[in-house]
Amino acid sequence: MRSRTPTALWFLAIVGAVFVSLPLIALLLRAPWGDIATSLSGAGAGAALRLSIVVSLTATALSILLGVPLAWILARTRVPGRSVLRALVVLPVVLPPVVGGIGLLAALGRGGVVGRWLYDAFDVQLTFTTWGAILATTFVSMPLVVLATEAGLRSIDVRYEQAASALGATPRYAIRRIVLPMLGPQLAAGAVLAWARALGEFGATITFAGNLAGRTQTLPLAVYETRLTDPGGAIFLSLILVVISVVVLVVMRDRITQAA
Amino acid sequence: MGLHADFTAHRGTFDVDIELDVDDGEISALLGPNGAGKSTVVDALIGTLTITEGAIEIDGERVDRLPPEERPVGVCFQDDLLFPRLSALENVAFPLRARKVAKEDARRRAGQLLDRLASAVDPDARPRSMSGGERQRVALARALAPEPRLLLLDEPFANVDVSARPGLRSLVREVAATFGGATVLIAHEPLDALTLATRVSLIEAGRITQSGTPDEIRSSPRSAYAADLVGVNLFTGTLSPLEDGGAVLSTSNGDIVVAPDRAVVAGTDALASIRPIDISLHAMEPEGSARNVFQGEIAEVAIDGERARVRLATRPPLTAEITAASVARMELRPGIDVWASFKAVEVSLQIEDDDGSTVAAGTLGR
Repeated sequence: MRSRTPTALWFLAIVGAVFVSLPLIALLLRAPWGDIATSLSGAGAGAALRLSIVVSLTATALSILLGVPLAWILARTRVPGRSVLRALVVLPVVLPPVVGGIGLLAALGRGGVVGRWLYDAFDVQLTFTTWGAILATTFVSMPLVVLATEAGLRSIDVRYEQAASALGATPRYAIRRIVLPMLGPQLAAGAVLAWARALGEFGATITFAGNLAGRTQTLPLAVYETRLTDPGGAIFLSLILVVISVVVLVVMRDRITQAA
Repeated sequence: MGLHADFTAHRGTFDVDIELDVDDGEISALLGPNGAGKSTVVDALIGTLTITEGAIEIDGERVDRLPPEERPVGVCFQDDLLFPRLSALENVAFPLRARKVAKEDARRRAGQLLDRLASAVDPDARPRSMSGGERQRVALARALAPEPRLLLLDEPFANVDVSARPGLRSLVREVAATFGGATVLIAHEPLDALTLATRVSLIEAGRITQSGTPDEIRSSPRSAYAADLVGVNLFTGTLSPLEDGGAVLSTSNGDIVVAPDRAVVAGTDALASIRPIDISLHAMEPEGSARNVFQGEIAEVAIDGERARVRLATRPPLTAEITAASVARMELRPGIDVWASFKAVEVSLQIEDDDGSTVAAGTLGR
């Protein structure tokens, strides 16, 4: 039976819906569509889009490479201090990204704890480089992979791994043939979320890697800078991000319903 | 050759200390209630739990220090544990692929095993779409694929529909006799253990409390638990339908009336069981609705606390459980004649299906 809905609830819900959708509609209304060609063909937009794609995809790959093993340790081992480890790993989800950027500077900046040694010994400088942008982005996206993967691993009965080893599989073979395929949907969901997060990353990147066109200026940074000189161009750049986000949402919804 | 296991294993504060010897071609059943330590034994034999004392030898070689993947053990797990993302064929090929057998070769051998053990299963089907019985058949094929020396069957009938059990049971019997190694059957239902195994060991609280042939254990259970567990009256025979929907089960030593839940064809094999507690004893011929009435001499009266088990030399032989007070009141003792009765509907019945997938003798192996 459907419950009856009070009028006040209807009213507030409509206000909420308008509030969320209005900015998106306004972007479409306010875009100077006549200038679309010149705005998007400017060197800045193309370079920012390309860089965004490179940075977000590399950061997602790094997040999977490091995040899945971390999730495994958290879900499948009894290392002491696991709860502390989990808290640390997940912290970037709630941490203001700018704080992450400051932390990265303190650690990996030219004068940082590790960064100084990297610079002195190997002449490696991460700040103001594309790798710096990638690391800053990975810092904020990886926790999403860890969270999704750990939840996925917990939902997989450990006895499948025991069965695999009793049937002759080494632990590594069991993970590759049995666990990873079973983990597929959750891992994919985590990766898509991490990628979406990476694509929108702003605070940690601008703080740690700076805002250098072609090197560290990803789309969100370009939106921020373009807005000062070319508000119409900023709207088009924003719309690119909106379109990508909508696509991600649609893909994710299918993923989630498939997994369920 | 076969399995020789004599070990102690710990899980938390619980410990298991058992001895188990099984010859090639034989089925030895380990029967016990939940929590008795059966799964600890399984884990120790598989190698997911390290034993603390003693040894596990297969064909005279120590395997207890080997990691699970290096032991020559094939396992059918409780809940089958077929890998959900692999097809039936890929599941059976898995142990071969894990041992670096080339893909084509592994798939070919897996296909042959599936053909013999689970011909009704589509090799490309995922476990989710199979019935419980089909899944256990695939699991059995998967356990046999690497040509193990020890076959470990952990409650293989637990999730299998009653109608599919007889076929699976004869398949297990066939496989155990022909695959070449020893078989250990873990069970908490006495029926499977008593009908399949040549030797039964009862496990209680981590210790084997009694060990012997099914007949030895059934005729002289040493504890109240053993009596409960194995004291069930078992009959095997062929059915002939009666006009009123019932049927007569003819055993090699007497007939009983049963109540099948569907029409039966004359000559169908069946397995019937009646619990001792469902059998009543009478000093004189009873009047009433019970369709099974037998007269016979008392062979043995075993009193255990307030309960008593009475063995009767009737045809077929029966064991009844009554109160010790009744024994005293009726002055029951070996040698005197009594009447026993039970209702046809109290008899639980398993009818063998005409199951074409039951393996024929001698077809196993590569």
